Amino acid sequence: MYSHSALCERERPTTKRLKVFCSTQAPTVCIHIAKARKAEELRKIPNINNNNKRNPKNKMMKFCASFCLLTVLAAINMAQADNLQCNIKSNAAFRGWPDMKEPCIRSMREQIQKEINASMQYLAMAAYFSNDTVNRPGFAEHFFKAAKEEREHGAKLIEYLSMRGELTHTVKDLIKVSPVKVKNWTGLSALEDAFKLETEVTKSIRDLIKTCEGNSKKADDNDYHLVDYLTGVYLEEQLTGQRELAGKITTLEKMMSSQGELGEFLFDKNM
Amino acid sequence: MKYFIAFVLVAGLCALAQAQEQSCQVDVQSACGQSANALMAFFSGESGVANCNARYAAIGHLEHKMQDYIHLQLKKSYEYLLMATHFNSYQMNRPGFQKLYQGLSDRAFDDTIALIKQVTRRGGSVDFSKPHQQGVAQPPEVHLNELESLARALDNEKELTNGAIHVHTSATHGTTDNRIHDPEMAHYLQENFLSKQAASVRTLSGYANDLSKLVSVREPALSVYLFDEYLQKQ
Repeated sequence: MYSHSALCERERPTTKRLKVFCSTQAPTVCIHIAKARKAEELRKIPNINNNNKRNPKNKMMKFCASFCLLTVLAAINMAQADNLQCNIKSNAAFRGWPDMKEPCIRSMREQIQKEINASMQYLAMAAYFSNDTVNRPGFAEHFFKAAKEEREHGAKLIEYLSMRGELTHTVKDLIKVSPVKVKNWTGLSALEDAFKLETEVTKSIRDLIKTCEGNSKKADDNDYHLVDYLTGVYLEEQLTGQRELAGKITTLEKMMSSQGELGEFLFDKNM
Repeated sequence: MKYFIAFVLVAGLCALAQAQEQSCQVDVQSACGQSANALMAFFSGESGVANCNARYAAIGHLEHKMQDYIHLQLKKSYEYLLMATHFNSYQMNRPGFQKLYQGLSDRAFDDTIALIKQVTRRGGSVDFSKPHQQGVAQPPEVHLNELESLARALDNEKELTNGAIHVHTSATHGTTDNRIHDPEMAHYLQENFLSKQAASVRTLSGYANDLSKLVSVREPALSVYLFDEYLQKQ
């Protein structure tokens, strides 16, 4: 079995190399200093024996040691100048901002994950209807489009959090790609599952709105802007989407009840 | 004795059914109840038109590799999305880098869909119901500085290229279980992935080298700002 990870371990030197390059060369510096000190001490040992003699050799040794130390220090300096300055720090400070409340942020993050999960579910449905033995290209295209839309919904919520000053150090575990339920759908059952999924998402957006409205009497933890955005853009899209799906379901159901397979065939080709 | 004769008869029919070439037409004939095929189909436990599929050439052993590749693309798509998000924060504030990674994320997602279409076009299927080693690896490190992020992206692009090469190798040489060639799949990967990947690997390596030269100065903040501005225009 071929393993991508094994391959990338072997052929992934760039990041590591740069990391070594960019990091301060502290360990190397330590080694240099330690070496210099050792050399100095070694040179001192004969000096103890000949202490009273005070021969010129002693002076010579001292000079040599300090010269060595200087060279090493110069080399370290050079190395530091060669080092890349990769991290650019900022000392900017903001008072009272970012101002989003913790429960609201947490619910937003959960909502983002839900949108991504919905996208995965639609992707699985699209893959199913693309199968040669199922052959429902209309349904497949519909669900591919839905998968893209859900991903965009997630991305837009992420962008909103960035706009409000969030997601500075907590991006890493924002999204998890997890497996989804797969069935032998029929056109009708898939649309019904999709409707159920949309209903759940709508409910979860309503809950999110409630969370972000806060529960203080003076409404000072009410996130008016986010609430308005979720209501005006997201709920709007959810409700029209649900209506569209419901319409499709009833039409298909009518066609199936009188014409069975022909109903689904025609519906798919006209989707 | 009666049972024995019946058993032999059944066994014989089964053997005959096995020997018969499995084709769509045979399936259709038996499903439509023509000739002895219907009886054979009954005994061999097959019904319907299972052989009326789109499978040929090496799809059997390419299917799983393509599935791995699809999951890899999907994972990278979300990793790039998070990288774009990281550079969109007010602390990083690098719209050029954000645009670069958002573009790569969108491309990887579109590629995921294109690959699903290709696998199913060839009669394969893609399974999203099992946790996948390519999909749920440890969360990627996305809090990177500008140069590190380019390095990471370059490594990612090479990983994606190698994924395509891996499927391509199996399609052309059939190195593993058998030696079935699959020129159609090989051609598809060459045309739609390998040349595109070559371009993106080259672009990113160019960026990484440019930026590493730019940040070799003592105060690189302005260099990085200008490089980001350059990325916005790409």
